[in-house]
Amino acid sequence: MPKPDYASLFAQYEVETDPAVREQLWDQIFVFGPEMDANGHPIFLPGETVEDYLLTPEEEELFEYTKRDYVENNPGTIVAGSEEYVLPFYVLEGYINIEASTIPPYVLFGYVDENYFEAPSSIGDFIAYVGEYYNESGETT
Amino acid sequence: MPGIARLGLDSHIGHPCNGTPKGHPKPFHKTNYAVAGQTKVTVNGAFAVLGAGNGSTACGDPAVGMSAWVKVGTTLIGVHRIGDATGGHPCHFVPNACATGSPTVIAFK
Repeated sequence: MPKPDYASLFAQYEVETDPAVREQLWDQIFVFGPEMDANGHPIFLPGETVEDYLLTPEEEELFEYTKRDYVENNPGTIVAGSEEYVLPFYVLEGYINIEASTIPPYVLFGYVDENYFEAPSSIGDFIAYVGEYYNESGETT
Repeated sequence: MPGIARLGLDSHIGHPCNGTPKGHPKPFHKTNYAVAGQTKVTVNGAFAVLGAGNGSTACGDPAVGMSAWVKVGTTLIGVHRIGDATGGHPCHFVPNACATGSPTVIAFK
Protein backbone atom coordinates (compact mmCIF):
# COMPACT_ATOMS: atom_id res chain seq x y z
CA MET A 1 0.00 0.00 0.00
CA PRO A 2 1.64 3.30 -1.06
CA LYS A 3 1.83 6.33 1.21
CA PRO A 4 -1.59 7.97 1.55
CA ASP A 5 -2.27 11.19 -0.30
CA TYR A 6 -2.91 12.99 2.98
CA ALA A 7 -3.95 16.34 1.48
CA SER A 8 -6.50 14.72 -0.82
CA LEU A 9 -7.91 12.52 1.93
CA PHE A 10 -8.24 15.46 4.33
CA ALA A 11 -10.07 17.42 1.62
CA GLN A 12 -12.49 14.53 1.09
CA TYR A 13 -12.98 14.12 4.83
CA GLU A 14 -13.83 17.78 5.22
CA VAL A 15 -16.76 17.69 2.77
CA GLU A 16 -17.99 14.15 3.46
CA THR A 17 -21.23 13.97 5.44
CA ASP A 18 -21.76 10.19 5.67
CA PRO A 19 -20.35 9.11 9.08
CA ALA A 20 -19.38 5.66 7.80
CA VAL A 21 -17.43 7.07 4.86
CA ARG A 22 -15.84 9.68 7.11
CA GLU A 23 -14.62 6.91 9.40
CA GLN A 24 -13.14 5.05 6.43
CA LEU A 25 -11.35 8.19 5.28
CA TRP A 26 -10.09 8.80 8.82
CA ASP A 27 -8.59 5.31 8.90
CA GLN A 28 -6.94 5.87 5.52
CA ILE A 29 -5.42 9.16 6.67
CA PHE A 30 -3.76 7.76 9.77
CA VAL A 31 -1.42 5.34 8.03
CA PHE A 32 2.28 6.02 8.58
CA GLY A 33 4.43 3.36 7.04
CA PRO A 34 4.24 0.28 4.87
CA GLU A 35 1.87 -2.58 5.51
CA MET A 36 3.38 -5.02 8.02
CA ASP A 37 3.36 -8.79 8.23
CA ALA A 38 2.59 -10.62 11.47
CA ASN A 39 6.22 -10.26 12.62
CA GLY A 40 6.34 -6.52 12.18
CA HIS A 41 8.34 -6.75 8.97
CA PRO A 42 7.45 -4.33 6.18
CA ILE A 43 5.72 -5.51 3.02
CA PHE A 44 7.08 -3.17 0.38
CA LEU A 45 5.74 -2.90 -3.13
CA PRO A 46 8.33 -3.65 -5.86
CA GLY A 47 10.96 -0.89 -5.95
CA GLU A 48 9.61 0.73 -2.81
CA THR A 49 11.65 1.70 0.28
CA VAL A 50 10.75 3.23 3.65
CA GLU A 51 11.76 6.61 2.27
CA ASP A 52 8.65 6.52 0.10
CA TYR A 53 6.63 6.76 3.34
CA LEU A 54 8.40 9.73 4.91
CA LEU A 55 6.20 12.82 5.25
CA THR A 56 7.15 16.07 3.59
CA PRO A 57 7.09 19.22 5.78
CA GLU A 58 3.85 20.21 4.02
CA GLU A 59 2.28 16.85 4.86
CA GLU A 60 3.40 17.08 8.49
CA GLU A 61 1.76 20.51 8.66
CA LEU A 62 -1.60 18.96 7.78
CA PHE A 63 -1.57 17.34 11.21
CA GLU A 64 -0.65 20.50 13.12
CA TYR A 65 -3.03 22.77 15.01
CA THR A 66 -1.88 25.79 12.98
CA LYS A 67 0.38 26.54 10.06
CA ARG A 68 4.03 26.54 10.99
CA ASP A 69 5.35 29.93 12.15
CA TYR A 70 1.78 31.17 12.71
CA VAL A 71 2.73 31.85 16.31
CA GLU A 72 5.89 33.93 16.49
CA ASN A 73 8.43 33.59 19.23
CA ASN A 74 8.47 36.24 21.91
CA PRO A 75 11.07 38.67 20.53
CA GLY A 76 12.19 39.46 24.07
CA THR A 77 13.62 35.99 24.30
CA ILE A 78 15.07 35.90 20.81
CA VAL A 79 16.62 39.27 20.00
CA ALA A 80 19.30 40.60 22.32
CA GLY A 81 18.34 43.91 23.91
CA SER A 82 14.63 43.71 23.18
CA GLU A 83 12.00 43.80 25.91
CA GLU A 84 9.67 40.98 26.71
CA TYR A 85 6.00 41.40 25.97
CA VAL A 86 5.02 39.96 29.32
CA LEU A 87 6.83 39.72 32.60
CA PRO A 88 5.85 37.71 35.64
CA PHE A 89 3.68 40.62 36.79
CA TYR A 90 2.20 41.23 33.34
CA VAL A 91 3.98 44.53 32.68
CA LEU A 92 7.54 45.75 32.50
CA GLU A 93 9.40 45.72 35.75
CA GLY A 94 9.08 49.11 37.39
CA TYR A 95 6.04 50.07 35.32
CA ILE A 96 3.93 49.87 38.45
CA ASN A 97 5.85 51.65 41.14
CA ILE A 98 4.33 52.47 44.47
CA GLU A 99 7.61 53.57 46.01
CA ALA A 100 9.06 56.23 43.70
CA SER A 101 7.44 59.61 44.32
CA THR A 102 7.95 60.75 40.72
CA ILE A 103 5.65 58.06 39.34
CA PRO A 104 2.13 58.27 40.66
CA PRO A 105 0.80 54.84 41.50
CA TYR A 106 -1.75 53.33 39.16
CA VAL A 107 -2.74 50.66 41.58
CA LEU A 108 -2.44 50.24 45.31
CA PHE A 109 -2.97 47.22 47.49
CA GLY A 110 -6.75 47.30 47.16
CA TYR A 111 -6.70 47.66 43.36
CA VAL A 112 -7.62 51.35 43.47
CA ASP A 113 -6.44 54.45 45.32
CA GLU A 114 -7.61 54.82 48.83
CA ASN A 115 -10.94 56.72 48.93
CA TYR A 116 -11.31 56.28 45.14
CA PHE A 117 -14.78 54.98 45.76
CA GLU A 118 -17.10 57.10 47.81
CA ALA A 119 -20.23 55.54 49.10
CA PRO A 120 -22.79 56.15 51.80
CA SER A 121 -22.49 54.08 54.93
CA SER A 122 -24.51 51.30 53.38
CA ILE A 123 -25.88 50.30 49.96
CA GLY A 124 -28.50 47.67 50.35
CA ASP A 125 -26.94 44.86 52.36
CA PHE A 126 -23.42 46.02 51.58
CA ILE A 127 -21.51 48.51 53.62
CA ALA A 128 -18.72 49.24 51.17
CA TYR A 129 -17.48 48.45 47.67
CA VAL A 130 -13.98 47.80 48.82
CA GLY A 131 -12.86 46.81 52.25
CA GLU A 132 -12.29 43.90 54.47
CA TYR A 133 -15.92 42.89 54.49
CA TYR A 134 -18.53 42.84 51.79
CA ASN A 135 -21.46 42.56 54.16
CA GLU A 136 -22.49 42.41 57.73
CA SER A 137 -22.40 38.63 57.85
CA GLY A 138 -18.64 38.72 57.76
CA GLU A 139 -18.04 37.57 54.19
CA THR A 140 -14.50 38.62 53.41
CA THR A 141 -12.77 39.74 50.28
CA MET B 1 19.06 -5.75 3.57
CA PRO B 2 17.91 -3.04 5.95
CA GLY B 3 20.28 -1.08 8.15
CA ILE B 4 20.17 -1.54 11.92
CA ALA B 5 18.58 1.24 13.99
CA ARG B 6 21.06 3.04 16.26
CA LEU B 7 20.49 4.76 19.57
CA GLY B 8 20.34 8.53 19.24
CA LEU B 9 21.10 8.53 15.52
CA ASP B 10 18.02 7.07 13.91
CA SER B 11 14.32 7.82 14.08
CA HIS B 12 10.93 6.41 13.32
CA ILE B 13 8.71 7.84 10.53
CA GLY B 14 6.72 9.75 13.13
CA HIS B 15 3.03 9.89 13.91
CA PRO B 16 0.09 12.00 15.01
CA CYS B 17 -2.66 11.00 17.43
CA ASN B 18 -5.84 9.83 15.70
CA GLY B 19 -8.15 10.03 18.70
CA THR B 20 -11.57 11.54 18.14
CA PRO B 21 -12.78 12.58 21.63
CA LYS B 22 -12.73 16.22 22.63
CA GLY B 23 -9.12 17.48 22.67
CA HIS B 24 -8.06 15.21 19.83
CA PRO B 25 -6.44 14.52 17.44
CA LYS B 26 -3.00 15.78 18.41
CA PRO B 27 -0.15 16.91 16.13
CA PHE B 28 2.50 14.90 14.34
CA HIS B 29 5.87 14.33 15.98
CA LYS B 30 9.02 12.41 15.08
CA THR B 31 11.84 11.48 17.48
CA ASN B 32 15.07 9.52 17.53
CA TYR B 33 15.52 6.21 19.31
CA ALA B 34 16.34 6.98 22.95
CA VAL B 35 16.27 3.49 24.47
CA ALA B 36 18.36 0.69 22.93
CA GLY B 37 17.38 -2.13 25.25
CA GLN B 38 20.96 -3.36 25.53
CA THR B 39 24.46 -2.06 26.25
CA LYS B 40 26.65 -4.72 24.66
CA VAL B 41 26.62 -4.14 20.90
CA THR B 42 27.30 -0.93 19.01
CA VAL B 43 26.77 -0.08 15.36
CA ASN B 44 28.77 2.83 13.95
CA GLY B 45 29.60 3.82 17.52
CA ALA B 46 26.02 3.83 18.84
CA PHE B 47 24.11 1.07 20.58
CA ALA B 48 22.00 -1.13 18.32
CA VAL B 49 18.30 -0.81 19.10
CA LEU B 50 16.47 -4.01 19.98
CA GLY B 51 13.00 -4.98 18.81
CA ALA B 52 10.17 -6.70 20.68
CA GLY B 53 9.48 -3.52 22.63
CA ASN B 54 12.91 -3.44 24.28
CA GLY B 55 13.99 -0.32 22.43
CA SER B 56 11.94 2.82 21.95
CA THR B 57 12.03 6.35 20.60
CA ALA B 58 12.25 9.43 22.81
CA CYS B 59 8.49 9.90 22.55
CA GLY B 60 7.92 6.34 23.77
CA ASP B 61 7.17 4.59 20.48
CA PRO B 62 8.33 0.99 21.08
CA ALA B 63 10.55 -0.76 18.52
CA VAL B 64 8.47 -3.85 17.77
CA GLY B 65 9.70 -5.38 14.51
CA MET B 66 13.13 -6.99 14.46
CA SER B 67 15.48 -9.34 12.68
CA ALA B 68 14.83 -13.02 13.27
CA TRP B 69 18.46 -13.75 12.40
CA VAL B 70 20.61 -11.11 14.03
CA LYS B 71 20.21 -11.12 17.78
CA VAL B 72 22.32 -9.25 20.32
CA GLY B 73 22.61 -8.57 24.02
CA THR B 74 22.45 -10.93 26.92
CA THR B 75 18.89 -11.98 26.08
CA LEU B 76 19.57 -12.45 22.36
CA ILE B 77 16.76 -10.31 21.05
CA GLY B 78 16.62 -9.34 17.38
CA VAL B 79 17.82 -5.95 16.23
CA HIS B 80 15.35 -3.35 15.01
CA ARG B 81 15.92 -2.26 11.40
CA ILE B 82 14.79 0.24 8.78
CA GLY B 83 11.16 -0.47 7.91
CA ASP B 84 10.45 -2.59 10.99
CA ALA B 85 7.24 -1.78 12.82
CA THR B 86 6.88 0.43 15.86
CA GLY B 87 3.95 0.01 18.19
CA GLY B 88 2.60 3.51 18.77
CA HIS B 89 1.98 5.01 22.20
CA PRO B 90 -0.68 6.83 24.25
CA CYS B 91 -2.79 8.78 23.87
CA HIS B 92 -3.63 7.56 20.36
CA PHE B 93 -0.34 8.00 18.51
CA VAL B 94 -0.48 5.39 15.80
CA PRO B 95 2.02 2.64 14.98
CA ASN B 96 4.49 3.45 12.22
CA ALA B 97 7.97 2.18 11.25
CA CYS B 98 11.68 2.72 11.64
CA ALA B 99 12.70 5.38 9.12
CA THR B 100 16.49 5.40 9.26
CA GLY B 101 19.34 3.07 10.18
CA SER B 102 22.96 2.31 9.64
CA PRO B 103 24.10 2.74 6.02
CA THR B 104 26.89 0.22 6.53
CA VAL B 105 25.67 -2.40 9.03
CA ILE B 106 22.67 -4.41 7.88
CA ALA B 107 20.73 -7.33 9.28
CA PHE B 108 18.90 -10.13 7.51
CA LYS B 109 15.22 -10.69 7.98
